[in-house]
Amino acid sequence: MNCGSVERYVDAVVDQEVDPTTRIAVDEHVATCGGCRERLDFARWMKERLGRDGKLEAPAALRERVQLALSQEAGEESFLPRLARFDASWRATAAMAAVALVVFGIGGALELNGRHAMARVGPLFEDVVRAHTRSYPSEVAQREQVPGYFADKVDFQVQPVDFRDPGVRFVGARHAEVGGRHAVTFQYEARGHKMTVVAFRPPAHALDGQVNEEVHADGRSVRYVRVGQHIVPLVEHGGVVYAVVGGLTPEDVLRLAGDASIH
Amino acid sequence: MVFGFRRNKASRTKVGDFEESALEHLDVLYGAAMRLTRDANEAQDLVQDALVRAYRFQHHFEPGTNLKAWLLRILTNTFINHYRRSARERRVLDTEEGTPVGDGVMSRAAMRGLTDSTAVAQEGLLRSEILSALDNLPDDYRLMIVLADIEELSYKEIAETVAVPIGTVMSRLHRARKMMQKQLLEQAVLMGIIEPKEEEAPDAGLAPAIDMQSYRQRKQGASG
Repeated sequence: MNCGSVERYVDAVVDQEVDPTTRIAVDEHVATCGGCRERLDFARWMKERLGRDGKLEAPAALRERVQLALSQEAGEESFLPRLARFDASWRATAAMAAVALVVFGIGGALELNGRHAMARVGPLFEDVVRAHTRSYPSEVAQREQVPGYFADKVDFQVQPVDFRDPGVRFVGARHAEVGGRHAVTFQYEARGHKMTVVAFRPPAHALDGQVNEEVHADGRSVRYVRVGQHIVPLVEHGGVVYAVVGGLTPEDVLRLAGDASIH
Repeated sequence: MVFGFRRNKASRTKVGDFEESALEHLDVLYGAAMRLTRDANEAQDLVQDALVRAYRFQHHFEPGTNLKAWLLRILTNTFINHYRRSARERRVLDTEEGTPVGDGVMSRAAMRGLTDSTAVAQEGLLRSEILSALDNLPDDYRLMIVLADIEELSYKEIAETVAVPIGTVMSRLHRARKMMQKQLLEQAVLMGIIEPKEEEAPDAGLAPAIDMQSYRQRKQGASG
């Protein structure tokens, strides 16, 4: 075997895809040819480096997110048990929180089966998610200016939601429309992810049968709507619904909404 | 691990069984997804999409075969069908595949410069340069390196994953490696690992990658 032949086999040799006869012939040549030996060693070094450098550890959040997605896909269990264990600080925070979270008093049976709820979700919430996925510039950047700015633009009083998590930052607000109704969208940045809160006054019975409820170990509950891949928690204050849509994991969105308050 | 997902579509495996087996490969899938999408958020979306798809199509999995390769195939297809940004990179592949590979051959001095232990101080920098050279490859070539070198699939498994003949896998992989070497060489010079003057002409002309016919002959020769 000569240098040219060895060169042709370099890839197959380092990938261990050559037959033993060829392998022996290559080895024999390489034993006496420094140039080919270096070429082969370098190819092995590259493969070994890539094998080492390219490997990553999946973030813990991804594991939980995938477990949740598979549970939902299976439709055979609620994700209540997962939520109960996902965050120990949740309970501690909840215990001390005088959360002004007014849980919705909407009628209708609770619907914990995701598939069922998803099938019945109306255009109103599709608009809510759309308000999150589309980016428009803010009209108001200071949260103190929010009530005044929207006073004559929407037919309800609106306030930005306070999230207890210090990793959540208010970015701005603007006027919007969901399901043909006036709404206000609040933009937040939550730990590097975009998060949107859409405030609107829902029409009577609009949410019947669409709302799911999460009850936690501490007895608190968060209500939410499932819109495609999105879990959209709802916080109610003064007859106005604040729907939370985020690029975070469903658990994180539910946790943030659970700690939210409106003053 | 040998396990048998149920073959009947109507009675899918309990999610726990599938989840346990599939999540053993989560790091592998995430690593591949990161290299394919080059974006942490997108990589997580891709892994989730792929695993939900795998769950739906688990009745297609042949018990006793390589689950990692099967999951990577689903991840790869999900990426190609739903995440690839544009057809631009595909066109690059189409137009360049037939042209001979002559670039990216390293001189002996350059190879020594990169692998030399005296460059240990540059370890972190080198790692990021290697990954960056990989990330700069067009999708179809990057995929070859990811599957062959990072995930260590065989040529046969790669061919099945990407749905191309083994000969195409070999030529694409060869070209991908040369493209990477070329980029790495340029970066190494910029980093000061290799002196510009060391980048001399290669000391031997490059033969093209082994062709399919001789590959088969060698394989047959070995088994016969």
